[in-house]
Amino acid sequence: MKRAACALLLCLALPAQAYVRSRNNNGQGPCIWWPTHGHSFQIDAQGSPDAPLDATYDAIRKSFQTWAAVSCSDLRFSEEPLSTSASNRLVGFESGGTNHNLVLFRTRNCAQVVPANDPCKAQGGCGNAYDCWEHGDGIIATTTTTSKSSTGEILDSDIEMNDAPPSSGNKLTFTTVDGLPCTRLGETGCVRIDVQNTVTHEAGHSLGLDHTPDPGATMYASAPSGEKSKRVLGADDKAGICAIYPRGAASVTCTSGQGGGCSAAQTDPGAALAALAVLLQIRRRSRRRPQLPMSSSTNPATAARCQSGIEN
Amino acid sequence: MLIALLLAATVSGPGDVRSLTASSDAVVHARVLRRSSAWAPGGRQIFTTVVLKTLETWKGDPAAEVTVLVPGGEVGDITQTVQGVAAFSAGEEVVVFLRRRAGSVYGVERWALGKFSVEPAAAAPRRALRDRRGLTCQGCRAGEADDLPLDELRARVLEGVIR
Repeated sequence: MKRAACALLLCLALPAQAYVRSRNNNGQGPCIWWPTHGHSFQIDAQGSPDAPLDATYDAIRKSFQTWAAVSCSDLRFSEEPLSTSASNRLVGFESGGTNHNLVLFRTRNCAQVVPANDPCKAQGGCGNAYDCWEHGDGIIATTTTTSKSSTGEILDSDIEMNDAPPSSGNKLTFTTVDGLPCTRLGETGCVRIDVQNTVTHEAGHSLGLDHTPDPGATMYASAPSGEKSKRVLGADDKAGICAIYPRGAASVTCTSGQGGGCSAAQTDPGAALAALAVLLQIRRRSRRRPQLPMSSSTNPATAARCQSGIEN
Repeated sequence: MLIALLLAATVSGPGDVRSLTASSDAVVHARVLRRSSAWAPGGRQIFTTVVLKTLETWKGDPAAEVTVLVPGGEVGDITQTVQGVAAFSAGEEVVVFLRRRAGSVYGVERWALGKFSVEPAAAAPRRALRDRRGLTCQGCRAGEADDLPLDELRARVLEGVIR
C-alpha cells in the first residue's frame, strides 16, 4: 500500500515524457531489460570499407559512451577485444554457447553470393552461413536482441550494418566525418549514413528502448539522409534509459499485457524510489530538446511506457 | 527457458508506392493462408514462413501461392520478435511488395514499408493501411501515404509498372 502510494505521488510529480519501452512476444510480453547496467560489446575488426577503420571503431565506441554518460543512470559498456575471426561473424543467440554483443558490417550481398539451391535461401540464415547481408538493399541496419520471453531479461544483442553492394541502385555509404550532408553522388567529405548516428540509435534499441514520438530524440524513428543529430541524446532518451536503469538501483522491468506497470528487477522499492528521484533531478537539468505529452505513443501494440509507476 | 529475440531495423527511403514498385520483383494483393516459424539452418536465428494466396498480381509473375520469409517468430519455448519487419496474421488480406529470394520464396521489400493491410470488405471504400512504426527510415519523405483506398494503391502500383 505504501509502495503504491509512493508510486502515485511520483507519477504526479514526474514531468511529461514520451519514451517507449520495447516489449517481447509481439508486444504482449514483458519489457526487455539487461540485469546489468550496461553490457560488453565487441566490434568486428573488418569494420566498413567506406571509412577509416580507427574512425569507424571510435564512432561505435562513442555511440555506447553516449549512453554511458547519462548521469541519472550508471551504464557501463566494457569493450571486448576486436573480433578478428571470420568464423565469429555470427548474429543471433546460441543457447549454451559463447555469445558476444557484436557490431559488424556485412560487405557481401547474399543475393549475389549464395547459391540458388542453398536451403538458407528458403529458410533463412544465409547471413551467418555466408557472411553476407540477406535483408535486401533498402535495410540499413538491424539490431538483434535476445531475451527471455518470460521475464524480458536480455541475454545478447548484435548490431548488423548493410555495407554490401546492392542488387540494383547505389550502395549505401557509411561515413564518420563531421561535415554537412552529402547532396550529390560522388561527393566526399560529407555525411551520408553516419556510423555514430546509426549505432547510437541501434544501441538504444539494444538497451530496451523502442521508438519515441519525440522528434528531438535519438530514438525517434525517422532520420533524414546525412543526419548526425542522433549522436546526441535528447531529454526523452535520458529519461527512458534512467527509467530502466536508474543509478544505484536495480533495472526496472514492466509487466506483460497491455498495462505499463513497472517493477524493480530485484524487489527493492527504496532503490527504485531513489532512482526516480534522481530521474526527476535530471529531467529538470535536461531541457535541450522539446518535450511531448505523456499521452503520445508510436507503437502501443509493441511497447510500453514505464515511467508512470514502479510496481504492479 | 523462454527466449525472445528482438530486432530493430533502420531502412532507407523513400517509401512511396512508386519507389517500392520500382524496387520490387513482384507486387501482389493476397490473403494470408498460414504461417509457421523455424530455426534457420545453423541455428541462432528464427525465420517465419508466410504462405499467401494471390488474389491479384500487380507486378511480376509470382505463383498462385507465394511464400514469404520474414525474420523472427516462435519455435517451441523460444520466441523471436522482430521490430520493423512486416507482420502477418492468418486470414489477413494484404498488399505486399516482394523481393525474390529463391524460386517462389520472397522477402518483403524494405520490411514494414513493403506491406499494406487491407481493411475488411465491410468497409467501403476499402482502405490499405501501412504500419511503419517499428522502422527507422532514413530518407523517407513527408506525405508518403500509409492510409489510402485500395483502388488508389492498385492504380499507383500499376502506373509504376507501366512506366
